[in-house]
Order: sequence, then structure tokens, then C-alpha cells
Amino acid sequence: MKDINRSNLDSKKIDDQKKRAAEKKLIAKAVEGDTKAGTEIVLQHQGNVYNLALRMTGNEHEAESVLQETFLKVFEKLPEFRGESSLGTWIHRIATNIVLMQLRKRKGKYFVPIEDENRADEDNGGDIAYVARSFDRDPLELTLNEELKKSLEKAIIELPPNLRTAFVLKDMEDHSMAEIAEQTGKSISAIKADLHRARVKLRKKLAEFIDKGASNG
Amino acid sequence: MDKKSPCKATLEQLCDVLEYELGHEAGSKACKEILEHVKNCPECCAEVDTLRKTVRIFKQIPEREVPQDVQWRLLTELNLNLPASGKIDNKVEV
Repeated sequence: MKDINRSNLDSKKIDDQKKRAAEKKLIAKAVEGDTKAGTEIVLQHQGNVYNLALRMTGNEHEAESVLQETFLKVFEKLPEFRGESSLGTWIHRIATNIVLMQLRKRKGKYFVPIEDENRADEDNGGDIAYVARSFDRDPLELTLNEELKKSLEKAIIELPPNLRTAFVLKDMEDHSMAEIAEQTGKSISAIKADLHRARVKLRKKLAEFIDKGASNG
Repeated sequence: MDKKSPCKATLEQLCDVLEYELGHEAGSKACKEILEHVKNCPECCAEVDTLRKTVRIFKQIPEREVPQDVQWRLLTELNLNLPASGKIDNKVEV
């Protein structure tokens, strides 16, 4: 078993090395002005950037604007790219900074904590008895159909911006707490509190959705 | 644990528990102590279990395709060549 695991690890390492070498070649060509290489970079990474922007802004026009601004910056800075991370990680970091800047511009008070009317409800767990009853029907067994997908996307978009930022970056994009704290200029404790409030709000929405589905048969 | 409600972890601690449970980050000593409590407390167990399931189902939302018109405008803005086929299929021969 150990040999199989080691062999899998070795082949993954070789694949990663090959991928990095191909990426390095592609970047060098793009820096030299090869437009096909530039197009390849865009096509490989545009999906991640667009989805990050869409989830964070909840708006297709803003997502497109983030997408364009990100790749303008990527090609401006590409000659300085040293390969300390993968190209995808580097592009993702640029996109995150741009989308956060866009959100800050929106209201000018983006990082002021929002006291909303549901705060007390969240602090007592968003009625855990109700949630636990709804979750008797395991949500992970639900089919992720178009209706459910749209409801979940809508639930994320309806989160207050600071909660949405914490949830999208941590739970959907897998950033570390330290990275999010650095990117947003908030403390790790504040991010954890935002993340927890986001999860509680989304859980409540999910419980309502399960309930609605159950009552519809 | 909060002295006023011994059954409830603080938001921060609960968050640590979930990070550990979801395999994101290493568990602190406090986190492991809370986990021990959670195992034997139905209310806390429901709290952690439902939050964990919530995160997992949201993670399953598939990514959306970038609309073709958005891709065209992006490549034009960047002065990049559109693929020779005139069709964007997310793969270009370099």
C-alpha cells in the first residue's frame, strides 16, 4: 500500500513539474508578445476570475469589469512574474484585490460592520431546533438541480458584503484565514466572526429551502 | 466556552472547530477541547453538523461558463487574437 501511495505521489510530482514547465514556456511566449500564448492564458484562467467576481459582486456587469481589469493588470505585470506560485494562484490574487477594491468603491463604507435586524437571531444559532428538524432530510442528498442552484447562488448574493466576502473567499475559494485578513485589512478574529454569521444565515436559507421542498412533496 | 451558556462555543471557537472538521486548518488545543464536548452534546452536535453540511452543499455549486460575448469583449480589450477557428472553445494551439 505504501509503495502504491509513493508511486502516486511521485507521478503527481512529475505531472506538476511538467505543468509548471509548460506554464513557464507559455508565459515566456506571452511576454515576448505572442498573442496566441496570451489568448491561451486568458482562456485557461478567465473562468476562475469570472466566477470569483460574480460570486463576490452578484452582478454580471461588475464581474465583467473585474475580469477585464484583472487581465489588463496580469499582462502589465506578467514580465515581473517570478513563478513563486502557480500562474493561476497569482492571477487569482490579483483578481481578489481588484474585486475587493471594487466593493470598497461601491459604498465607501464596505468594511464597517453591519448591524442588521437578524443579528440576535444569528447569535442564538438561527433557531437550531428548526434547522435541525429541516436537516432531518440530509441536504447533501438533494439533487443540485437548476432551481436549487439558483436559490443557493441567490442566498450568497443576498449576504451583506462583509459576510459574503468571508464566505466566498474561505468556503468557496479556499483562501486561508491569514490571506483573507491580509486582503481585507481585517483581523483574523473579525473574519472568523463574519464567516460564522455568513454560514448561519446560509444554513437558515437552506433549511427554509429544504422545508419548502418537503412541503411541496 | 462562554460562561453564560456553557453549551455554546464562541463564534470564533466554533469557526475553528469547523475549519478543523472540514480539514482546512490544524486544530488548536481549544478547538480539540470543544470537539470533545460536541461529541457528547446533541445540541452542539446538531450545530456543527448542520453548519458543516451547509458549507459542503454550497461548495457543490458548479462554476458558470463565461458568456461568449464577455469572452469576445475581453480578448478585444486585451488586443489578443481570437482563435483562428473564430470559435472560443477554451483551448488554443500555441
